[in-house]
Amino acid sequence: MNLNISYNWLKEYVATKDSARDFAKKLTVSGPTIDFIHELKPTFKKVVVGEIIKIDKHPQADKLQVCQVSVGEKKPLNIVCGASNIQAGQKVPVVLVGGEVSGNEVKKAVLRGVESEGMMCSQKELGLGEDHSGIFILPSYTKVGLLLEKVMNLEDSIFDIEVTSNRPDAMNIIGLAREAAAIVDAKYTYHESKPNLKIGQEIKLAVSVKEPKLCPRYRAIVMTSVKVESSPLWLQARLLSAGLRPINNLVDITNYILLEFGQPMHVFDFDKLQNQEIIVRKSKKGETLLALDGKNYELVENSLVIADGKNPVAVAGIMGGELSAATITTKTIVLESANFDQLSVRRTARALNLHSDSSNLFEKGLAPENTTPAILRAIELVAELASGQVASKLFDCANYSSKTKKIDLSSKEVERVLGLEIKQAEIKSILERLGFNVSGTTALKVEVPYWRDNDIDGPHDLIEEIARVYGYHKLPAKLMASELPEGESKPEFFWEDKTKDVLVGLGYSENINYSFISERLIKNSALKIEDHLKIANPLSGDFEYMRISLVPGLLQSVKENERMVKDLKIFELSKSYLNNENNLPNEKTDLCLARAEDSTDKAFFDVKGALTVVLQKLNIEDFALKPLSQELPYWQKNESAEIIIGDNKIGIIGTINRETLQLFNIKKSPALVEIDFAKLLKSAKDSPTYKPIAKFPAIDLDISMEIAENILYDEVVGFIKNINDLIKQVLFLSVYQDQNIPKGKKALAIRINYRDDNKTLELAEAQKIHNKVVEKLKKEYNISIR
Amino acid sequence: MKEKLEGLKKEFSQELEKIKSSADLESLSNKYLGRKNGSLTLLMKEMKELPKEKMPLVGKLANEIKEFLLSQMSTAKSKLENKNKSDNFFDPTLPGTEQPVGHLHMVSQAIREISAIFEHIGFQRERYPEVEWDYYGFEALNMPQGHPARDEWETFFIDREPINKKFGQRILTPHTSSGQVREMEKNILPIRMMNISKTYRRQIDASHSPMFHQFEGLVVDQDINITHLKGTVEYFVKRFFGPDREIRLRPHHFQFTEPSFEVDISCGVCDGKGCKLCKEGWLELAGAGMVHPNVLKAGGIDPKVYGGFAFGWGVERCYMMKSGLNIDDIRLLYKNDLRVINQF
Repeated sequence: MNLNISYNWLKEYVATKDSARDFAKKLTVSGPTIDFIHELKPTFKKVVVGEIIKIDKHPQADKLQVCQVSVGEKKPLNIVCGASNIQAGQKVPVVLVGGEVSGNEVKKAVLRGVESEGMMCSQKELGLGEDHSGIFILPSYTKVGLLLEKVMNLEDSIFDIEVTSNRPDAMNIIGLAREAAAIVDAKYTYHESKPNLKIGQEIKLAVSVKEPKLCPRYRAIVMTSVKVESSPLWLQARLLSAGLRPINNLVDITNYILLEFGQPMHVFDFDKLQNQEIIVRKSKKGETLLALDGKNYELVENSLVIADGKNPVAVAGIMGGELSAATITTKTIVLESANFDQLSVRRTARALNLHSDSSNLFEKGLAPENTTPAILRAIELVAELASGQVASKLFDCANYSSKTKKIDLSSKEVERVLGLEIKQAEIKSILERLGFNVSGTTALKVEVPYWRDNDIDGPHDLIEEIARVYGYHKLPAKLMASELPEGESKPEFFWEDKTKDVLVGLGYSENINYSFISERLIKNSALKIEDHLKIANPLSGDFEYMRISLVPGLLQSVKENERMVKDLKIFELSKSYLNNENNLPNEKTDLCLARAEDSTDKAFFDVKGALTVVLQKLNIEDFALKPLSQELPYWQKNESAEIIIGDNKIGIIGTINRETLQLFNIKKSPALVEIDFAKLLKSAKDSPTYKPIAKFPAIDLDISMEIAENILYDEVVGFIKNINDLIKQVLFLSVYQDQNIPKGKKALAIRINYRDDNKTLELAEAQKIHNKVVEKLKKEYNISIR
Repeated sequence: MKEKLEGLKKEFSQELEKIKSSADLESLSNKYLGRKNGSLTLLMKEMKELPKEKMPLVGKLANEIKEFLLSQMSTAKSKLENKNKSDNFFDPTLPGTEQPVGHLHMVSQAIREISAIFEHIGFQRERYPEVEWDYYGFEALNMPQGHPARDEWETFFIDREPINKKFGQRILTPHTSSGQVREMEKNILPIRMMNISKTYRRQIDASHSPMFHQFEGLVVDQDINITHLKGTVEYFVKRFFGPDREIRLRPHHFQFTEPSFEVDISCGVCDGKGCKLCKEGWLELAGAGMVHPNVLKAGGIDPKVYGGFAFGWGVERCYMMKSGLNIDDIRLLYKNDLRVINQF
């Protein structure tokens, strides 16, 4: 959580003379990180405190007023102003002629015929806050004529500081001062307030906690005769420095306590509480609360509330109710300083979707002990700034164990984690500066202070405290000297890299698609929704399911790229997620290639060529394609085939069916390869098989034939190879169909490679076998020679 | 006969010097090697008259001279051709023939660089589920149900309610740390593991993609301390970002490490002096820490005997920081626009 913290305020409790920058550096390397330092300087010039003496209507303009404003000179200034929140008698900031505000010089001017000698301004115009709703009204007791920057003490450095979630104790001035004092090794001076608790006129209030587990401590006090008005400027300046808007002295005091002690407080208007009662209880069915944010909340049954004799008046630790809130007319108040169970606050805040500074702190876990210094300081401030008088005892319903946590720590353990010996005296000093009590000589006994009870559990936590305050920068950097782990790296990483390299070499570009898939894409690909793993809280419809195939993503990519890129060749080598009911899905690595062309034929044989090279480079010598025998999602059945290595079907190659293409709005004709990569790797070999170079020359003889179109090339080749051992290879030359070829036939030209491994083959002998081949082909396939 | 042959060779060499064109070369060739009247041809015919005992010696010489003539003329021919060619105008600035060029995705390139660096110091790459049990993603990492620290990850869930007594709900891993306890459960020590994987968080804007990549290192062994973490991080940073870059460990908090750090690297733009890009000379890189005893226990390892450290950082972030790539919207990486991919 990031906080804005005034360095001046911190320095009230830490005796340091460091510059803001040096201080920030030291804190950052050993404690909370200071992200930025905002140097606070007045952005205005010649602004003084003025008092409005008289307001008259502007003779020419309905929306303007003419004010007489005293700035301590003999003669009041005549100022024309359009704001509606001003009254005679108010103290306001006045920019004198020649002064500057928001970067503009203020000059003497004539506004619709009336002379104006200066300007009154809002908080925003002064650069003090965000409020621009009217003129910044100063407290009535502010002395007229003083320079505003002097009254508000505006020269300061504001730290933008990140306190980690395990340290709610340091999310306030006192806690940060304690932390900083330990780190910079400076004196920490804090004294608990000791307000006068003598009861004047007693007012009866009954306080009871029905849920002690959810409310470990509840402290409250009644104060009366309060006078609600603006806070003094020093207090307003502090709130503004932390980014809070001053409202009135009562609200400002609770906010001030929140900043200084990190203890959320609440003020009830006593006269609005039914039956003069405060009950901490669980909510009942159907109860609602109009909260301070102006919204009406239906309370979740059994969430913790503060109630009066009849109704809830606050959601415990989250937000107070509008109807019991202190207002400008409030005379008697109940000040509350309580502690609530962190999980309970968290649950309720989430259920109501209502979060506040208060709930954010309680959720992180606050110490019940912290309620006391906070309420004492609040009583003191209410007496001082709002003339409040104590009218009840200081209630204390405490239901927690105040047993101090004790941890044994040996300096050996410290050395084991730090890799460096730290002297025991130094260990002791660091821990004591942080507020721990340390005793013992060899094995240290460490007592945890109450404010660290939540985050310090064992010696490892203490070691972190010692290490960071000692300084990580003082530790050396070394590589492990120990033995390397056994075993070797997984081969799949090698093959994945190699496959990608081969494809890149062939001109294919790698895609990485989201693992998510939308319902629309699933349907467009003719896949089944129910086969997909569904995300319970997707960001949007685009990210609703986990993909079971890489094909939809690549088709989408073809669509996105086909108009922009010629020669579209893409691939993805990544996981898909096959749904397993009530178990983790089967995460399977797939390799998918896509090639888009103007004709399906060109695309298919081009991607097949790429597949052939990939397999070659994985040292897989042979593979076969078997035309699809059944309809499968997205494949065009008559132009697709199973890829088979040995007896294993490892994937599919083919074109995409026309309907899918249309749904994807793809104009070109893509051909794809989809392979189960793990199955492929079963056939991959580390090195190729070496075949000696042939010693004797070979003879090539060609055949050009007409053959039935439905006879597969592969079949013809297999048939020929089986005829004679001297046939070493069958090479493809061409295939085509046109008007000169009888219907149902195709013209196929092949080249047969004859070779004898033991002697030079004579042409006559080769020709003899070749003739036999032709005869057999005629007999088997009824071919005719062209 | 021998003298005649030598004289012929000398004469040929002199005439060859004077050759100016292919036509000259042609007539020279005819003069000496012409089938009917070539002077060498005639000499060789004459040789048949020689006594038998002289034949082998003279024959050998004659053949040598014939070879010499042929090779000299061939060289002269090349020279002539070359001369002709150099008279033609040639424009080397015309574009080369287009070659098929494919491109590895930027993230794949980053992963290769990162894993190669860690491989050198003994880290072995492993792979774990991306759709994982809550147990490995949170619970075993010292974040029991309802722990507020879980809020720091905007997690995707598969199931709304726990479906497994021990393991809870199924989630998409919001960090690579979910591999830590899975690795420990293999019960093979010591561990020097590297997990580079897709990770998922419910965030989407110019600087967040709901799917991104992290790399995680985990070391578990006896006598492992902070100095080793510092050493390992420094080793990586200097090799990945450059030898001039410095690191700094800043205290932080993670539930699964204690102590926990954030690692900063010195800014490469201002050399650590402080500029607009960095915070007082430092750039925030990522988190790291010493493995929390509760995590070791969850993995069945005795924290009294073994210790360890871990770090888990964003691949995209590191790569962009390294290369100074000014990709203003990280989601571009997964839009698969080839006009982007083909730049890498």
